[in-house]
Amino acid sequence: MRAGRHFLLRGESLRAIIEGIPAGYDIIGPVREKWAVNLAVLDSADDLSLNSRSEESPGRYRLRDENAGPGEARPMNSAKSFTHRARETLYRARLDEDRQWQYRPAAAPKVKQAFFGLHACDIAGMSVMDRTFNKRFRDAQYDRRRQHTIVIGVDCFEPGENCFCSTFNAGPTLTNGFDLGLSRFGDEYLVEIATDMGARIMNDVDLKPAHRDMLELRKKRAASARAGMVRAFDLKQAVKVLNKNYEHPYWFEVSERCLSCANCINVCPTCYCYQILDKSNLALTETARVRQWDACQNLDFAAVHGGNFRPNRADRIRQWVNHKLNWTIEQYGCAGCVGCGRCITWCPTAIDITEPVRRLGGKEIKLVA
Amino acid sequence: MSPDTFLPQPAVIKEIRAESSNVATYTLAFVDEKIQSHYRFEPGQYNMVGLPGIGEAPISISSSPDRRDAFDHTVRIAGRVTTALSRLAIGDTVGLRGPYGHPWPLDELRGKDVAVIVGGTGCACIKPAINILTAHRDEFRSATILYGAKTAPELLFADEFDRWRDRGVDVYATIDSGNKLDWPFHVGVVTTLFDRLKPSTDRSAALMSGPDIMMRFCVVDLLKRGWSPGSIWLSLERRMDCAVRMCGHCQLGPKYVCQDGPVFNYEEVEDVFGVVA
Repeated sequence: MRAGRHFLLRGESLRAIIEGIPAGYDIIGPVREKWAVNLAVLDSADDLSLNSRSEESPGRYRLRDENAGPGEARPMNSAKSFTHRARETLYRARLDEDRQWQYRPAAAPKVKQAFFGLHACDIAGMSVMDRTFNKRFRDAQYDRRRQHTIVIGVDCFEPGENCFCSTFNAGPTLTNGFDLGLSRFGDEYLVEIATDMGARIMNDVDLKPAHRDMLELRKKRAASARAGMVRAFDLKQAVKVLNKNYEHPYWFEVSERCLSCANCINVCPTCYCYQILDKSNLALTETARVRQWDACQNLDFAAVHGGNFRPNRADRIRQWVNHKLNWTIEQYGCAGCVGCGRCITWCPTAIDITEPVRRLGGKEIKLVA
Repeated sequence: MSPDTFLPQPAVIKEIRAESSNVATYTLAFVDEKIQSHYRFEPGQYNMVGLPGIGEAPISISSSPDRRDAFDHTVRIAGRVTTALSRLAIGDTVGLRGPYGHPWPLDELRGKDVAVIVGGTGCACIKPAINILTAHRDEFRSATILYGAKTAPELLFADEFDRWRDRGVDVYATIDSGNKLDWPFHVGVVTTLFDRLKPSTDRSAALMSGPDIMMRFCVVDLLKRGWSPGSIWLSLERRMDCAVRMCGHCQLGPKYVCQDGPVFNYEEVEDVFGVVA
């Protein structure tokens, strides 16, 4: 990190950053809805949620009115809602005059997107998803969206009760994957310009050089944020514990509470699974083959003709926890979880993805705090 | 891989042969001759076969890879796509993309005693490997096929058994139940034929295809008979929507059946395949 690239910005100049984003980009930031903050497309900088802070515990989310910075109320949805759309057309087919199907690719999404106020965990979530969609096989739609993405991140100094991003080194402060990084210190922001795009956005913004003390203070606040994450665990140990307890009755016990509602999957920044379906016109002469989000908690997720490979909720919860914390490591070289805590917050029955690690690990697992 | 990962290519049905009351073999060729002439697959691979408005399903290729002008899909009427497929006629087209997946390890099998253990429609995905075994029989130390089905009509490709035998492959068939008038041969599940296998040595190899439950029992029996986990290969079937490691449906533990499989060495899936030995 080069000190020369850090600057100081007065809080009231935040909107200048938003105004500095090149024309043609959809600007997506935290917006207060009635009872939650969501990432949504901003009409103007006035839409930004700057006066709420969120409080989470398992199965619970509340907003408190308070003068806060962007991102201090953790949004329910993640950047996934915009990079991996809930429903998207893959291609179209049309029956021609000779009654032959003609296939044509779907139009490439023209969208350009700038995310404002993402936490490090959500930026890490984007990079996990990049490994799924752009690794051995290229997903044209996803790829196109990601090529035109600006990320303006913000440090998280006050993690919530459900947060455990330190487990995956996915936070709490920004390390990579952003164009501009912000850290809030009272009425002022420390700004890190990480890319040329970041510099371009800040071109007309009034900046002062940052004092060295602020960088030190940032480190200290990051360390204390890290230490406050009570749900954090040692990932290597967790993998061992999960492998050893694949047949443990715990999975049946926790499944008694699971509603198979798939909230955990919808809010997860890295859950990518989707199904492919055909949408036809009434005359059955035109079809769009679309993909839409699917969830391994759904009963028919692993169903084939004449059978279902995961008919019990216990099978499906075990699948999900292992996929997130264990198997993605073999598949993509990183965990499939970034510790954002959303699945814990938004589970209607307060199921906690870190619980099996603690419960099954017994004394083997050393909690950080 | 083309930039349009999901875009199918039309293929025309050249021939349809009924294999049993609900199984048929479709001979297909890509409408675009250039695509057909460049199309290559390995035994054990599959295509995504689709019909607009109906959907897509992974279906294994059942013809010999040596044939270049066309290829076969042997299909049992089971779900939405296969039912729609059964209503098509010669000259109709389907949308295809592929081939996908990890094939049978034929190169590793040369010089070995190869056992092919098949259940029911599972014969479709192993048939190209049988074609290689029969066509290049001298490259393998021995070749034995054990084929079990519920009833006699469900034994696919029965008209080819004699030809396989003529090429020096031992073929044993069994059905789960039947009366002596219709089926004067062996009756019992496929594991009851295991005494016909050559005793296991470091040159033994087994290829397996069929329902999961059958393969679990077969694995248990082979392990008891001293076969090593690494000498067993199996072809798995799972729900697949994308076939390119993205949609998540086919996962078996950390494996994607669509690309890491459908053919696995048993050692790769030992922990998650559910064999209780």
